[in-house]
Amino acid sequence: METVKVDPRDLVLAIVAFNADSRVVGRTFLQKLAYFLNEKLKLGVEFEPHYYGPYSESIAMATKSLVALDFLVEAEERLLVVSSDIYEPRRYTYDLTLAGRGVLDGIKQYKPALFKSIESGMREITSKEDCNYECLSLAAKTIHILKSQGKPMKDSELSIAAKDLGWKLGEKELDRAAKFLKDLGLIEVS
Amino acid sequence: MFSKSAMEIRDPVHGFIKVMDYIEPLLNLPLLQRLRRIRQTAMANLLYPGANNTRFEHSLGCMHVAGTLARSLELNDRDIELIEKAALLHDVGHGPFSHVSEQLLVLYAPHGSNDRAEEIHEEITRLAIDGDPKLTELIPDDKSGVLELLKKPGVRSMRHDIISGPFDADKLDYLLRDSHYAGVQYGTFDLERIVNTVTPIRDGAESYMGIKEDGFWAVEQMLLAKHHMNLQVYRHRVRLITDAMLVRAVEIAFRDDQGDIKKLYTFSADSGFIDNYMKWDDYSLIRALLDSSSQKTRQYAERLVERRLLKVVYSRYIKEFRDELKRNRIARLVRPDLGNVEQRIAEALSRKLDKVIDPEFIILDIRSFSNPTFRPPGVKLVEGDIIVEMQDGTRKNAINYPNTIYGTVKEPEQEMVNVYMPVDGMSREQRKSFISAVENDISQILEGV
Repeated sequence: METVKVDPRDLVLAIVAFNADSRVVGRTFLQKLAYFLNEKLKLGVEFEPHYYGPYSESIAMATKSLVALDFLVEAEERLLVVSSDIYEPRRYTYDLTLAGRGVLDGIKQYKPALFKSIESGMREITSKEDCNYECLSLAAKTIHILKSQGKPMKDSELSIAAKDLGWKLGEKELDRAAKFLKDLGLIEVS
Repeated sequence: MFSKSAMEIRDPVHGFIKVMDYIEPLLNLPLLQRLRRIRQTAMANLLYPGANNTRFEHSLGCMHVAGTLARSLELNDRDIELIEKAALLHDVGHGPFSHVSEQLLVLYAPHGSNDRAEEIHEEITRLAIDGDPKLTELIPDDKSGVLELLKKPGVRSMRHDIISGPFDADKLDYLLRDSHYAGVQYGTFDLERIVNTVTPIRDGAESYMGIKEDGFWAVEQMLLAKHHMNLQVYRHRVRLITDAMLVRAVEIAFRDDQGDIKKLYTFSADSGFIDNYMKWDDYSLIRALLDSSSQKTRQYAERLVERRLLKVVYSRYIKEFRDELKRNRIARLVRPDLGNVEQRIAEALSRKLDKVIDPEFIILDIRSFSNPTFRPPGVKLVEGDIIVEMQDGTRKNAINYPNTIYGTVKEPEQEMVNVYMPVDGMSREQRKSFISAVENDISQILEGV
């Protein structure tokens, strides 16, 4: 499939607007949704390994820019549990504003095919049973490793490669990731 | 074999800096000496006359602070050596006027290559270190270790935190140094306290440079210093104007003059690009602009040299435009559309002033302050990853520790549109009335994009 370069701001707006409540809960979740749309639709967004899996600085910047322009509202929630969650003690929720909706409707008119494919990609990803930030993180880490190695890998090999990147992918995690990726048609499991 | 201090260098910020025997031979390498000719804060000296400090002394300071932190964390000698070398070399990829070059490299990056300023700059640093034969001769066994420390880590580690972390040696040095040379007091904080209270924190494969509870206030002081330096020095309007003028001068030369400037800013990973890039510094760029065959480039360069700067005649937060579609279009203006808007603004201002204004001397500067391309050295307040070790041994993230700034200072996420133009000969009062006279015209042009 040919890469269709998307403006990261358009992608973030489309992701947040997708659900009926026009809301995405969590920066990690937003990043991972963008990651899988990028994988499915070849949107040309750069991702690189980060603590929570593949991460795109341009998606992060686009989100901040949309907040600065009042197209998204960012709400911050302090989480009470600080132990295993020590690195994400705040959770951010993004809501599309009316202005953001207006902008998105305007952009859609110019690129109908692109937005149709983003919506269809979102429908496919979010229809999966286990579509939450945890599973998406595991799946994104797994597919990132498989892509960078460019060859089929066993669970044990994946675990070792994950460890090199500072990620933990044990048997349980890999089962969960594999199911999600297989359902999405991104890998074959033998 | 034990390493020993080979010499001491007197430094206005840290006093005497001890240079270990494994560092001394590196100091005279051309790739480090070039940094003596690259000022740390570009043309901030046109605002703060003392701000002439260079990346060379910052590199020495950074090496000193990195070594001090590493010793305080009781890292082993081998790690300390690698950390000091990496800290000393971390800025060798900076081009003329530092962040101005980063913007230009992104602007002319060949399609398909990295399109972020930090990434290109970091890649140039790595390529410069990797391809320097003299450096290879001096540190044949350490080069890969140094390069590894200068890369974004997959697994977070104390060693990486010292080089590039929420309160790394780079920030700890440049805040104090830039503040000292600019002659402002905003960048000061208790470095000694931070050094004495850093603590290793380990979690599985990862490790962090944490801070003991007793030292937290010094870190908070540093974060606040960063915020204030950002407002008063790094993002001061004169800095923004001089950067924008340099960028425009190069853009015109790139288009009209081609030659050397084009070669300098067309990034490629081959050795020809790096060899050429490493010959440039602030002085040679200004000289090339002054000697350009393009008259407009020369005029910009002369203005910079003579401090006849463009002035802000319009400034507005983009979110203040009420119509969201217009807001969206303004925020996304890029060339060639941006040039068309400058042309319309020039026409409108020419009518107001009853004289012809060259559109290339109108700079429409659209800035996103959350964008690292326009973010001089790491100005964003870091949130969420400084770990405080409490007196009872438990750990807290800094944002959950009761403190002053995390509750009050937000990340500066602003999208702004500024218009700069020459207003030679206008008094302050005349300029003020001119600005209010043209405000509506410019707003209307922007709303019509």
